[in-house]
Amino acid sequence: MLKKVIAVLAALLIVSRIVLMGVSAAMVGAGVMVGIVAILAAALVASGQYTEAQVDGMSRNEIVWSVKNGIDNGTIDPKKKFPNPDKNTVGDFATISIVDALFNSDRFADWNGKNVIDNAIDETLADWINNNVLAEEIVNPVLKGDVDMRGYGALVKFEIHRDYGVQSYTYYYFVEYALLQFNDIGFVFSGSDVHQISYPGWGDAVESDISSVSQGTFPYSCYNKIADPISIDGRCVTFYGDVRFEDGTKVDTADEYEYPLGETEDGTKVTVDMLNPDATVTVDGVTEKPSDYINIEYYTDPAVIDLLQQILNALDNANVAAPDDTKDIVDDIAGDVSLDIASELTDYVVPKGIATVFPFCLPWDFVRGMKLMFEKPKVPEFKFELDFGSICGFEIGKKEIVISFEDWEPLAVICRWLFLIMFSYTLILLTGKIVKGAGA
Amino acid sequence: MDFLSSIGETVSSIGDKIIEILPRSPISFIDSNPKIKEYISFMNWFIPVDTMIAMTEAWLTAIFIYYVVQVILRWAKIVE
Repeated sequence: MLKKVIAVLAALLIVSRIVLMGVSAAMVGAGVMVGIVAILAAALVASGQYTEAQVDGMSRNEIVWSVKNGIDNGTIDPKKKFPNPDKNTVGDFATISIVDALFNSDRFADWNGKNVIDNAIDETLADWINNNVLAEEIVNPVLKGDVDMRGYGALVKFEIHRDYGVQSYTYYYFVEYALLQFNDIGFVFSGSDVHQISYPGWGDAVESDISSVSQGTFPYSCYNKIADPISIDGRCVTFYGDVRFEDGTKVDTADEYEYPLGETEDGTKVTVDMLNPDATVTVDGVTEKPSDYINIEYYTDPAVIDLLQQILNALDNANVAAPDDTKDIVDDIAGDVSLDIASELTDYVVPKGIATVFPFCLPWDFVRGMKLMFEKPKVPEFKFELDFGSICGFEIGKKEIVISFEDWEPLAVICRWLFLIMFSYTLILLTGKIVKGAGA
Repeated sequence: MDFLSSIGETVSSIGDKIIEILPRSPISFIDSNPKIKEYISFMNWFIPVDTMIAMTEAWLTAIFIYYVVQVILRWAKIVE
């Protein structure tokens, strides 16, 4: 009897693995689709074609179809909201990769008829001189183009040799993904982090921060010491998982950084991986809709703009089927777009149709049940709030009591090992019986 | 051809009705509850259920391979 049970379990495991492989492919596609829909819904509202209430009432398929239709008939112009870096219109935001522009400056040679980085550097130097940041005349500024990946995108260093009578150097670091804003008077670096280290040619290097490097003002001020990149202000270094150079080489980026979509009323940052399958977000048991927390203003950011452009380009090129043909849409988009969507989203996607009803759901439920047990171990922590009221005339009120098992870690380690050893011993005993019985 | 497609549509609509009548899977409800996942993570801190499941999967796979090889060898009359 035991042998038969073991044999059935083994067969079920193998079948489930095969089913899981097929389901995972569809679920990843669906998971990508879920993440995309939340962003497309916000893009629809931002385009002005739909109100938030209208988009909230749309199904997933309708949202995708609306964006595609809007692009086709010209009522939604993704390029206007998220401009192409090659576009050059006064008053529009444009984004370029500084490193990309420096190493491939000929690509931007006809941007406003001038090389944009040369122009930006010239204006920057002129401004520094005007503001007495640079007291001496600049002699032979040299763009070295050294790139130092500190896990937050690219830092570009360029040297300026100043003639003090002795050889001296000044290094200026720019953080990747600066936002260039066109205005009447020229280029404004905003959102970038600049750090200056001066080597006067004698004594030690002098380190100082620059508060403003160009005309106009910094909307965000970020002062960073190069030696401690962890202290970089997230508003200054904006990127997401897939930052690349023009040749496709991926830039090393900090894995821990999560770009926030917005924040809830109590200040909790909402990130893409916190989205539920229906594009709501649940924080501490409270579910909120996208319109409550997605700040459209964030979509002027170059990292999200880049992401949305990828999605919309994929929609342009995808073979979008009729509105009721969801599977083809998911397959086409999932095949054209490669996005780093948090794996937690795939767990929330439930297959439609027969796979959700008993008894046909058993294979999927078996897999889901197994995956449920694979939660990462966490130190048990229980919080209680007790109302002590007043004692002897002293008002104590509500106090939070936290019971944490953190100090019991050594005991937990012993428990874990004991259980594993006992379990292994059990498996060894069972194996002997099964193999002996089967060999008979 | 129309007849066949109408039969197909009828079967499909009957299937949809059957799916509506059948009960929903309870596991998806449990799966989407964050509290349950939290308590399972607490349990995993003392009792490494995740490791045990992984070990069981490997063991079952080995047993399955053993059975398959045994059947093949018996069919080839290499063993009795």
